Amino acid sequence: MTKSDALFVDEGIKSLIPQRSPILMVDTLYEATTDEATAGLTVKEGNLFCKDGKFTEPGLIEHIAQSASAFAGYSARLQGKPAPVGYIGEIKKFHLNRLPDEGSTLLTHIKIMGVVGNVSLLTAEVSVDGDIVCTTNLKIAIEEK
Amino acid sequence: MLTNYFTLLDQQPQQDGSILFTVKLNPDCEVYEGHFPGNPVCPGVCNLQMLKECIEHYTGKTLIISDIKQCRYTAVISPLTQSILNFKAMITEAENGYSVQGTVFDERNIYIDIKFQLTINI
Repeated sequence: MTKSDALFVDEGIKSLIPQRSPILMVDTLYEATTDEATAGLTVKEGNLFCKDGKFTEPGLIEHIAQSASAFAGYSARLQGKPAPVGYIGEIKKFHLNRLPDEGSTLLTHIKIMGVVGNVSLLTAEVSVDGDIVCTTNLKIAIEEK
Repeated sequence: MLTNYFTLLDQQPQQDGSILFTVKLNPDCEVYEGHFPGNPVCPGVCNLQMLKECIEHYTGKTLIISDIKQCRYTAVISPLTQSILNFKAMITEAENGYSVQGTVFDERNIYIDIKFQLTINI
């Protein structure tokens, strides 16, 4: 996965999701199919969710939610629709292996498991340098504009 | 990490063994500049961090959320309309930390329903 081959990077991500600095927690959408996507974030110094040199649990979960939101924004764009707003409806079976270091590049794989009405159920896995740092299931409520 | 997201106003042990925390949200926190521009809505993960910090305050330990069995966000919270929130938590000691079951509510609504595990950060 390299940024040069990615679908959307840095400023371009803003066309897919409504979140802005200081809580913009995804910087790359590498690839996307109809039900799977890979996104990423390089945790810069001074990131809102860093403490004592580590990227903390709420940051990881927000990054996953925004990765899913970017995926939803990308899918909407393919259909000629504006980027929707996504809210976390439920976090389930979150498990943390370790907190990534500040400066790490997170690679996040999202798989949509089902859609009921405007709610998407997805499973996500975040890795750094090939090691899984956390896994979770999320329900994201999508509010179309 | 945000240091001005909320203020812990009170923590009171309840008859059933739980702890009732009362918090005040700060609508001027910089996180609302991005969530969302012109439409301040509490990020669900910031509320999660707030609950963790309440438990840290009560236990006097630095904690890491190692597992979330389930966390349901049942209503949207805005710092403009929901300034004061209650967090009722049943905190039990578990291996290397605490197991917590709790709800976040005010007189109008239940906002969060959570079961999670916190590990003491050594």
